[in-house]
Amino acid sequence: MKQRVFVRDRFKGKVAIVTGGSSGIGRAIAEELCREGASVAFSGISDTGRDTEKQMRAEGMDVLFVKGDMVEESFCARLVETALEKWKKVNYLVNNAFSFVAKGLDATADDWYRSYFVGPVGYARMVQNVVEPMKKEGGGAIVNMSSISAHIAQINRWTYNASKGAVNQMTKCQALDLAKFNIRVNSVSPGWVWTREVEKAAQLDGGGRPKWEPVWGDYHILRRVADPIECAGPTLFLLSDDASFITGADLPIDGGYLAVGPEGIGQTTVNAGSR
Amino acid sequence: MTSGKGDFDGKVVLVTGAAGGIGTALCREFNARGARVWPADLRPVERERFVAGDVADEAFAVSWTRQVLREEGRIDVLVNNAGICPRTGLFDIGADEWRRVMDVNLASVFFLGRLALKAMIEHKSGCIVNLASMAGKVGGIAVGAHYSASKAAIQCLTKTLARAGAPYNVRANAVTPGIIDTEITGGATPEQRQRFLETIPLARLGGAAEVARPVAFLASDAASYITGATLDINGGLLMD
Repeated sequence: MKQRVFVRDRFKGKVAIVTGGSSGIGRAIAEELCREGASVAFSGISDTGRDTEKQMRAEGMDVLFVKGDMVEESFCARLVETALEKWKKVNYLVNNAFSFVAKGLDATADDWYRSYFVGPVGYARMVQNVVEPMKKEGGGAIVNMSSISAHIAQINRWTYNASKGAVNQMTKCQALDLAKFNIRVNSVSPGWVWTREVEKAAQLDGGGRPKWEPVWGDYHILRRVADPIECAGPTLFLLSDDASFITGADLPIDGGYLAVGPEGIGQTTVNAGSR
Repeated sequence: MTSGKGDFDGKVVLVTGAAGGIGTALCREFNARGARVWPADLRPVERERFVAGDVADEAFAVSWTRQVLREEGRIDVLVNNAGICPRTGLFDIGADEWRRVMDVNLASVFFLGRLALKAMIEHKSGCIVNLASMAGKVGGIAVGAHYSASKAAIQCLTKTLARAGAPYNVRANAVTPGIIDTEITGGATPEQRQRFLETIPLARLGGAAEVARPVAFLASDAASYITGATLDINGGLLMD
C-alpha cells in the first residue's frame, strides 16, 4: 500500500461530502481529506460504511457515515441535509459512488436505469443539492469521478462507458453554470485501480494480484495498477486552492493509459519508419 | 488554502524562462516548498543559482545540465517554461521567425527534456513538466501560428518523454494554460481584456501562481500515477 504525504491543515475547518466512501477510492479520498483537516460525510449502500466510520473515528477523524442508495432522489437530499445538520455548511463535494454495470447487447432497461441513476443522474442531484450551501460559503469545489472508460471503447461496457462519458460532458456544463458562484467543477479519470471490484475480477481464476497485475498493469505506460490512495492526491489537488484557475477540466490518473494507442507500450510492435 | 511547505525539500528543480511572469511564480512556488531551484533565462535576473543562457541552443542545454549534475549530483524536476510569443499574422511570419519560435519553444523541450531524462533514468526517479498552451489545442487566434504549433508539438513530445521515462519511474506531463495575466497578455488593449473576461467562465484572467501550483502538483508525489497527461488551467475557457 502506497503512503501519501499529506498537506497539513489544507482543508482545516472545511466540510466535504464523498459519495461511495466506504471502501476503495472513495474511502481513500475521505481519509486524506480528514488527514488534511476536513470534516467528511460519506455515503455507502451497505453496512460496510459503519466499520469504516468506526475505524476512521478511532484515528481521530471527524466523519459521519450516511447509509443509502444514490439511486434515490430523496437520499441524495438527505445526505446533504445530514451534513448540514452536523456541521452547518458544505464546502466540497466528491461524486464518487457509481454502479459498475458492465452490459452491452444484453443490457436491460433496469441495467440502464441503475447505471444512469446512480451515476450521472445521482451526481447531478448531489450538485443540485450542494449549490445553495456552497453559495452561502462564497464558493466551493466539486470533483466528479469519471474513468478512462469515458474516453475509450471496452468490450461489453455500453452501460458503464456511456454513463462515465455522460459524467465528463456534464462536468463541463456544471463548470460553465456554476462558475458565477465561484464553484469549480472538474473530473478525474482513473485508469485501473486495485479496488474490491478489480480484486474480485482477479480472483475469478484464483490468480489474484500476482498473476493479473503484470497483465493489467501493462495497459498503462507506468506498467502497474494504481493504489486507491493515488486517486486521492489529484482529487484533493482539484478541490484545493492549488487549482483555483482550473474548472471544467478532466485530469487523467491513469499511469499514461490514455496517452498510448492500441499498440500499448510497444512490447509486440516493431518500430516502423526509416532508420 | 494551498499546498504547504516542505514537500520538495532538497529537490533539485530546473526552471527555464525564469525571468518571466510564470517563471518567477514557478521559482517562488518550488522555493517556498523547499526545493533547490536552478533558474535559467536569456534575460538576467537576481536569483540564487541563476544561469544565463539560450535554451534554444543545444550547447547551452548541455553545459547547464552538466553544471547542475556536477554541483548537485542529480536533477529531480525539470520545468520547461521558456517560450516566446510573437503575434505576427499568418502571412507575415518569415522563415527566420518561424524557426526561432520553434527553436525556443519546442527544440528547448527536446534538448533539455532528453538530457534531464537521461539523468533521471540513472536515478530511477524524476519528473518533467512542460508548459504547453490552450493555443496549441485551438490554433493561434491572438497568438501566432508558430506559437500555437510549437505548443501543440510540446503536448506530443511530452507523451514520448512519458513513455521513455515510465520504466524508470520518471513521469512527464504538460499543462495547457489559457489566458494568464503575464507580460505576454500585458500587451492586450482594455477592450481585448474586457472581451477575455466575458468569455472566461471564472470571469478573470489566471494568475501566474495559479499556473505554478498545478505544475508543482504534477511534479510532486501526489501525482504518482499521472504521466503523459495534459492538464488544462484556463478558468473554463476551453473544455474539450
